[in-house]
Amino acid sequence: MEQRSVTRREFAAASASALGRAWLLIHLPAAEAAAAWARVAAREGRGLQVLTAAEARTLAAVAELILPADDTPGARDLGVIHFIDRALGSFAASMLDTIRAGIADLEAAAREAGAPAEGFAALPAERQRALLTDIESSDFFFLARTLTLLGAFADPAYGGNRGGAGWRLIGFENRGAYEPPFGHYDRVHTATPSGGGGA
Amino acid sequence: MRRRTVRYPTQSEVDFVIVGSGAAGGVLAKELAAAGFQIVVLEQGPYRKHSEFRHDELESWYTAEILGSSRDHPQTFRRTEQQEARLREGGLPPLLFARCVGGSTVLFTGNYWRFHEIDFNERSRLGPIAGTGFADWPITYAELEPYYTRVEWEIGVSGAPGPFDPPRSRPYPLPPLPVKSSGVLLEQGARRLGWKPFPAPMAILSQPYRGRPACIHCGFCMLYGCEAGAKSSTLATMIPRAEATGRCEVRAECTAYRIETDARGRARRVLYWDADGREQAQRARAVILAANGAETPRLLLLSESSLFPQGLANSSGKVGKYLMFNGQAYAYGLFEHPLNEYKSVQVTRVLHDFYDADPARGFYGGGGIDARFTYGPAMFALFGLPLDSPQWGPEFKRNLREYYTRTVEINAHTTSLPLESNSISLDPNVKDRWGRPAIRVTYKDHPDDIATMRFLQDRGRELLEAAGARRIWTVPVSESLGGAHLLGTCRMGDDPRESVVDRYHRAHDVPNLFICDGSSFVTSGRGQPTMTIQALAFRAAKHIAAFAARGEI
Repeated sequence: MEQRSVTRREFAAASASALGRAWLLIHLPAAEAAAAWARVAAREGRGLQVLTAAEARTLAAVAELILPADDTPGARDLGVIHFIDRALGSFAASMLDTIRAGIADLEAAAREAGAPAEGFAALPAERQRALLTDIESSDFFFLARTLTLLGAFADPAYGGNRGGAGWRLIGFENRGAYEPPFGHYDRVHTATPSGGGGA
Repeated sequence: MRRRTVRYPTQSEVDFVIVGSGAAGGVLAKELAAAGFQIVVLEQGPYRKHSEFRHDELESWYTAEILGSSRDHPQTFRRTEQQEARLREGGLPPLLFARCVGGSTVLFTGNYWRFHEIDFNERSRLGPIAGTGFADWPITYAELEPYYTRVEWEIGVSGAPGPFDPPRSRPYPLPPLPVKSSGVLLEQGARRLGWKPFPAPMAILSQPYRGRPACIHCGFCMLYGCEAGAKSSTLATMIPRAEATGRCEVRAECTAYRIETDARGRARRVLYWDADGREQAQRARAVILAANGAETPRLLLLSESSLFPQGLANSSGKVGKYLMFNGQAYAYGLFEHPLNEYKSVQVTRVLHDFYDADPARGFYGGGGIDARFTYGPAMFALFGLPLDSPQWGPEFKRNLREYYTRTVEINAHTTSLPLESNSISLDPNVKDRWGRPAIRVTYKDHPDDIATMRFLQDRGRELLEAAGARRIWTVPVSESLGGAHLLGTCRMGDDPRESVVDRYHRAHDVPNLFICDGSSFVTSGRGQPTMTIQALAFRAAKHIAAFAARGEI
């Protein structure tokens, strides 16, 4: 827990580049565990493997706050919780304790805030947002955000990003091969008589 | 499908054992095998096929299998020699290099500009810099030029001459890759500022070349293997040609751990663990180390003996010293229309207007600038937005949708001064999976390196402004966390007291040991070192073959 905090602080301080930030992101999983986990994700149905139903309910609500549905799909529509559940059973196993403790803390805060029996997930969205804002700088939130976004945008083979809907959401076409023009500015450039020179 | 290749018994003496199959090792293997010598290449990583490479962001960035797990291959890091080096709790290791046949050329971006003349003689031009090992190379650009040309034509480099290029004896074999929106914007912004942009030289095929297909513009270059085989890695170029000679055996998943010498101090055998973890020893007339700027010095230090108490080839004490990474600085811009930078190769236009050092700036340094985008969808969601934008919730999501296709990154690549205190050494406490001392990295950027990064980050901001970015942001320049350019750790020089290898890459202390990879660099250049590593390898191969033919090894 303490070590994780150090990592997160280092992360915040040393984020000069995408690479720099990726550098400090998460524990490197064992390669073989990740591969096995991908196979499991492909084979299994949607049942939870690590989280309890109650934990998953809380965490799914957190994920939905991080990436909410609007006129486009959110974390729930993308199946992010299934990604997270499998991640916590394999390459992200080292995060499980922090995630579990964070869920428990969040539920305790929700009870204090007068949540019904179903807990955090049953609170109005405004109240949920306020409780999550309170813990924005916690290790739990850092990991929950990381896993939510990996689940929304990593390859669908890992159990999230259902049908590639996360990719469509941000405009990533996933066609595997493209032809020029690639974007607006090179299209305009090559269409004008003075452009196009020098390939 | 792998072609059947020659197999040598370990107890029979081959001409050369080459440790490492990457940028330099692949070239040396092919050149020396083609010259008629018997070659065994030892590569610690697996032999992958192009068809195995996938567009799996999670695997490439976060499981980082090819980069090696921190459990099997731990590296420790510290800023100064006074500190105790530590393992990082999370994330990638300090030094990024690929463990596979082809080495880091399999995963690289493929930026392939040549070094300029000043990269080799800057010390004479500018004078000394106190407290550093700033020095001239023992060779000049003119001496290396024919070999730069060989690299371009042998592996396939796409490009067109630029306004600051040093002289070249032959045009590029392939035209530049199609310009992307980032390249168009860089060009427009730069012209408005009076700068002179030019097409990026890339080790990626713009057209079919020597039996390989052209780039399919999939966009997965950096940290991905190329499934098309259009990236000019040694896996796609030199290694198959070396094997096709019938004289080169590539032994994958074989980890060299010691170079054994005889009573006269000549290299005799390379000891290694094979794919099944068994100890093996390959006899050879000569040994060539091309294992990269970290593994090469580690292997030398691990090969200490009564004859070589400081480590093999280390009477100078310079093995592992003068580590240089190249600095990097970034500026980001948001544009009105989609650029779709996730498509195609990463870089299509570059700037060398600030390549030369300028004493008027008050600090030493210079660099190249390009426009690119290094994000897959997950990476961008995690890190791509400006830090002052919301990082979760409805606005975060709206921003992701707006920014992903409209963001470009201006990336500056800069000089790193050679400092004796920046080094690769053996960690006294941490061991790797084989029980060997882990690589210990000591690295702190020189103040001029930081100043150069800041200077070029400011140029990046100007460039984005001139290109019409709607929004521009930067993250403060910080000290290097590590690097993928592993340079300078067995530096080349004429003086055996100050350098590890001579101008022909022969170890000063061991006549039949040659060292050629990023470790040979005397100064860092301005990023993009692989082209120069390969030019050095072609040149080294020619001299080594001549020495061998004359019985001078």
